[in-house]
Amino acid sequence: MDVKQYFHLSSMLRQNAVLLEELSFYQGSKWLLEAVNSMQQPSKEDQLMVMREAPHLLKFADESFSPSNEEELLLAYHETNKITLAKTYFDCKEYDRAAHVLKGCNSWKATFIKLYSMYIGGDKRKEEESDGILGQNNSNNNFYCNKNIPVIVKELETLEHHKLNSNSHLLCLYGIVLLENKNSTEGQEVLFKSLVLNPFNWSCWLELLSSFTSFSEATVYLNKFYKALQTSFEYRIMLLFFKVTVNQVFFQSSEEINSDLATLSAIFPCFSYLNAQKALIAYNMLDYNNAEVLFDQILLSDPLRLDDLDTYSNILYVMEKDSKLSFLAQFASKIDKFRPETCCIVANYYSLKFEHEKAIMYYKRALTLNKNCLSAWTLMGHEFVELKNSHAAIESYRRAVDTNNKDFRAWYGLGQAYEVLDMHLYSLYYYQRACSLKPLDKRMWQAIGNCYEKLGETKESIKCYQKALKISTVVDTQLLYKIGTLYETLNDVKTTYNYMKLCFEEEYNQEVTEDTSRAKLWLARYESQQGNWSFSYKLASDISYGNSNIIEEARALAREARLKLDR
Amino acid sequence: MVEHNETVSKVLLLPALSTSKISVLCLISLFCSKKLPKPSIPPLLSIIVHVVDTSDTAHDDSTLSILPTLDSLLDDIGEAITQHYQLNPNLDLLLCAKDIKTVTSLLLDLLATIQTVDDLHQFMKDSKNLLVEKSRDVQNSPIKLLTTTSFLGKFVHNLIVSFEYLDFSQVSDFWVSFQEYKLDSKQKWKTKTNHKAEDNADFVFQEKLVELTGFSLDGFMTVTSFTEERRQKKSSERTLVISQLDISNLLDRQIHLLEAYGTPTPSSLRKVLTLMAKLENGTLPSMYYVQYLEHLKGNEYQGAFDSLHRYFDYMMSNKQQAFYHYALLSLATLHASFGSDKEALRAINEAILVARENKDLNCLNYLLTWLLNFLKDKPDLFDKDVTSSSKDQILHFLKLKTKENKNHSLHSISYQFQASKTILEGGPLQSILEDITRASYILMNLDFKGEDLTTFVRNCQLQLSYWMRVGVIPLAEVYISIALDACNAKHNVFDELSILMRKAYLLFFKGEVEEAFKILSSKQHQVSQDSSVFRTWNLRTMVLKLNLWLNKSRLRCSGILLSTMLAHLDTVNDTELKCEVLYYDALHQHLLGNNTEAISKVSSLLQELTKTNSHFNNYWFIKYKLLYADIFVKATNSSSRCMSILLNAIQLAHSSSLIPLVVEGSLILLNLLITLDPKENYDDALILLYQLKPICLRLEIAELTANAGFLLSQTLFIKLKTQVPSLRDTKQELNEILNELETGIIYYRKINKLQMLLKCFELEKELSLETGHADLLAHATDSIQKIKHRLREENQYGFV
Repeated sequence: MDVKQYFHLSSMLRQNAVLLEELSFYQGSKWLLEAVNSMQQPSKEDQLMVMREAPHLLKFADESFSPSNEEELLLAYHETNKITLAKTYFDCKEYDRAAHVLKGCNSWKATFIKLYSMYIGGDKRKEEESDGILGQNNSNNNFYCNKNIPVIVKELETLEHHKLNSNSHLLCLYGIVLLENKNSTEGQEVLFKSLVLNPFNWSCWLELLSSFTSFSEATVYLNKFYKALQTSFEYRIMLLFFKVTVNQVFFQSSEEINSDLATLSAIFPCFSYLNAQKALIAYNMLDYNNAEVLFDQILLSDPLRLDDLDTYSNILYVMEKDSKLSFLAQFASKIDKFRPETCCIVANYYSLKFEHEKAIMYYKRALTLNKNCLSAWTLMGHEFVELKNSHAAIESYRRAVDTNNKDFRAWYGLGQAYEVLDMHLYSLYYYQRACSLKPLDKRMWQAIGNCYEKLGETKESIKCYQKALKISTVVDTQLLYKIGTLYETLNDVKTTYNYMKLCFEEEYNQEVTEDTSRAKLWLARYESQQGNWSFSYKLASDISYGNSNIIEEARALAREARLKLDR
Repeated sequence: MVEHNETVSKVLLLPALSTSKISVLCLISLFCSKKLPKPSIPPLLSIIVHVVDTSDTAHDDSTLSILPTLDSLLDDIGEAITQHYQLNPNLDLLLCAKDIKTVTSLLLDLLATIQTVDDLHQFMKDSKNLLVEKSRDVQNSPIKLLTTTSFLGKFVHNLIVSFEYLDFSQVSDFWVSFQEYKLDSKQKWKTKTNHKAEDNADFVFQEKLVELTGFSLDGFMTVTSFTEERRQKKSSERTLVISQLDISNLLDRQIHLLEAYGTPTPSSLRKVLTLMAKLENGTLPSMYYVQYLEHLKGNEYQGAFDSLHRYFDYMMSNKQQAFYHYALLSLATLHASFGSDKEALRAINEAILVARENKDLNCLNYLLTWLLNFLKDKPDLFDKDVTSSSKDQILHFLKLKTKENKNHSLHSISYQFQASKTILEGGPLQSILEDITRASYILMNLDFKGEDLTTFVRNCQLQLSYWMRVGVIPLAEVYISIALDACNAKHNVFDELSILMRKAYLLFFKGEVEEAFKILSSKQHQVSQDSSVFRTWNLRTMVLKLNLWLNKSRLRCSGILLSTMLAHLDTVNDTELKCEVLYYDALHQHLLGNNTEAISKVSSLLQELTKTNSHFNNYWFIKYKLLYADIFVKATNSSSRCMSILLNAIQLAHSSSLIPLVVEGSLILLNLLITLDPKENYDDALILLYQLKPICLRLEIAELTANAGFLLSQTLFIKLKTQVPSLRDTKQELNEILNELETGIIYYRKINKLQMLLKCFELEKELSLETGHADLLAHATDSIQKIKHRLREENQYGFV
């Protein structure tokens, strides 16, 4: 075989390998590339000579690469062969092999693929060493870590300063490994740099987002990006996507976000991701009806999209739309039985049917399919609570917050579980964590208030209930009555009277509830103590709603007042 | 059943549940809610019971259906109610139609309420409310409640548990199948839209989504309706839900068929089985058992072994049904049927140990019976098998325990064993008859079930073979016809063949040779389908053929036949047959003139039999002795030793009432006597022969009759010769001799015993010379010539 034939054959093999890879025939592609890389190379002089005569023989994919001399071109030609081979190894999930084949290659692409393969390979090994997600030694345990990370970090750090800092992809990888190495500040910084260089790397945005532990932290970076990426329209669009997602993830909602969404929707009207963000924001804001409509629309426009449908099933669950949930479960099963989302939907379906064991089974299935399916951990915790298995519930919630500490439901669940076990100090801590994530949710404050009450810290408790009252959209009679009774324990009769009155007056604004009846009863009792028999009689005889105790006491009080009045 | 032109896309195999069971559950819940009209309750309950108790159908000859349609259920209901009305004179027949209509519409209405998969969940939940734990909860309830341990309660409970264990996709498949089940019916389903109006927006959304994706989800939508239109567009693909319980019963029946009839697996069952194979987890233990039986039948050891292991591996996980010792029993059977006796013994011994540990007496009894039966034909193994107790101990244990357990069939078998053991040991007639009578009595007094018939047939076989040995042929014939009738009733081919073999033997020895071979050839086709039967059958046929050939003096061919038989002897589990073949081997040598060889063969055979108690076989011991004496006298002329052997043998035969052997021995003895000193002994011989002759005729054994006739004529001729001519009443004596000689000739002709025929004619010739009858001489000379010619021909038989 002469040199020309060599180049001709190797090019043919590679071209077809690339085509096969595009067609997802990975094994065939791998075979061809292995053949290319195992060919007997002619001497370097011969190759250079042929190159000079027929440079068209050395065409390769990376158009952006412009070699300065022929030798470099030849080097690049052979390296491209190796990169393509490594890529097919990667596609075939042979990560170590992919890294191995690229040893000694210098281009940034080769370095990236090599290091990324090492990263994924290490992650896979870590997963294998732990007993899987449901085992005792789950991978969140610090004991098991990605053993390739120090090597990757070292190799990235030994790269030329310019080579690393001018390449957004290498920076992104560097950021990822730093985050994995629990070096979050530096990691975030590196990811920021990478995104400034190339804001179109959505994976990088997501990595950065996952590193944030609080909304304030996210806001700091958002501002930084604003300063760095104001220059061009395209960059701003990417930033807008990030902003919307950050707000959604941290349960934020504002007019600004709505207008951002509107801006993006005008550009990408059919983008399911965007619509899903809208729906999720509505869900976070407890606007279930709107969220349902939005999810319906998403499904109609992109019927086979399973992403976020687990959240949709949560909505249907809360709305108790069991037949629609049942349909959704069937529908999702038809699309793919073995997607974590499908499993969560089915689990929700069973939960609504009070078949909690089956629900747990499906949540476990979801987790086996995707260890990061955090909603499954939380929801499984809920199921254990239903089964009165607090200890298992606590473990599930703990796993959930270990996977993603932004999930207020899991923190809240932990609080609830400890509350059941009468461990109120623990429960207080977890409610506080939940509250810090969702400070505008009155349930959080109510829960904290309740804990303080149990712990005998009445004043703190009153403060929490008052905060809850303040942020609640409608006046909550239960809170009013609660605060009233708490003041009563502090012997502050005047304030108690005020709150009871406020509570009772809500009967006219809203409707009669047990709390308003109680407040009314309290007021009747108060008036009788004051000797205002007619007022007391009026209040007591008016009570017709509430449990038998309330009614009976009210009747006795009315009778007594009547007697006094008659005398 | 499903029509097979439809594509079955999926098979769902559930432990107890199948789509049609929902209808039955509906019927039960209607019954519990006391909604059914009173007169219709008994027939409906009988239908429910019929469906619930599937084991009952295993012995039923009616066609089994694992997938009954709703229409067939409704038809059954109508039929049952009508029948009930017709049989019950107190009921007004006019109300019958009304009742049928009421029941039908109640059932259909209830089925129609199950419109969505959620309704199905609800229905199952409601059905659960019919169940209570304790019977006292049943009282004081407005509706009938079922305890979980009751007949119906257990059924309902199983269905509910089976449903609860379904995972999500299985529920979906089940629902689809259930809808198909409803749509298959001729019923017009009412369209009911009892869902709230607000759900209709959801319905529109769902319909759009289904349209977009093309998923067939119409059974899962918020509002569903069964309409004619849906029936029309019903796809040709189907989902089958089959209850494991039903299919197991079906397979049990198949197994029963395979074991008893040897019929091929029906194609419909094969189709279902093939479908099952498609299921990843649809492993049906019985399926492997069927495979095992098929391999067994086809003599495929490896395949049978694999299938059996598979069967029990799966059965082990199903603790309800399988125990280790049953597995071992089957394994033992497998090994035994392929001749791996040691492995079989190892398996059965362990099975016995396990059964003892588990205190499973029923199984233990069966195992011990099996062991005895197995070892009966393998004396070598019995002696080596140190772990097992002696035969007597086992038998004693069996007789006691089977009685305690009221296991009558095995109880009877243990007496049969006792009888056959006594027969082997040469025990007295009385004790044997006692045991046989006991065995029969136990069998006759129990409720006869299908499986007991086999025991009965075996009992008949024992009796007939015993009567044959003792020489009461009419009784043997009676038992043959009884056993054959029993076999025909049950199509028990295996036993039928073994009885027919005995019949052929009987006919052969009676001298009806052609009839005997006709029987054998008539069943040849049936026999060749089953290898294990084929071996025995073939050897038995060869034995008769050999007997015939030896009689005809086709000695060279006989030698070849014998060597074939000897080669196959190891594969046969029948000591009697082995003894018989070896007997003919020695006889063949003797007929060839190799007397030394013959004697050494017989004496080694005798030694073999007396090696241990378990080797001993009284009948053949006597038979060998007789042969030994016969050869010995011809080879050595040492008459005194011969005499003592003969007398000993005759005494043995006499003590165990083996009349044919007594007669045979006596004839040999008499022959010896008149050969030794004709003049001295003929008087005694004549006295004895006159006594023996009627016995011979009664025994109906051709050879004995012929021998007696010939011997008598010979003795009479000696008497004639020794008399002073003047005292002779020649004519009368001549006639008598000729009469006896004729008997001999007739019977020798029947059994084609050419050498003896030659002797007869030689005697005739001598007689004619002595008396000077020219005609007689001519006839004798002519006959001798013919026979000699034939003998030459026969000797050349098979050789060109």
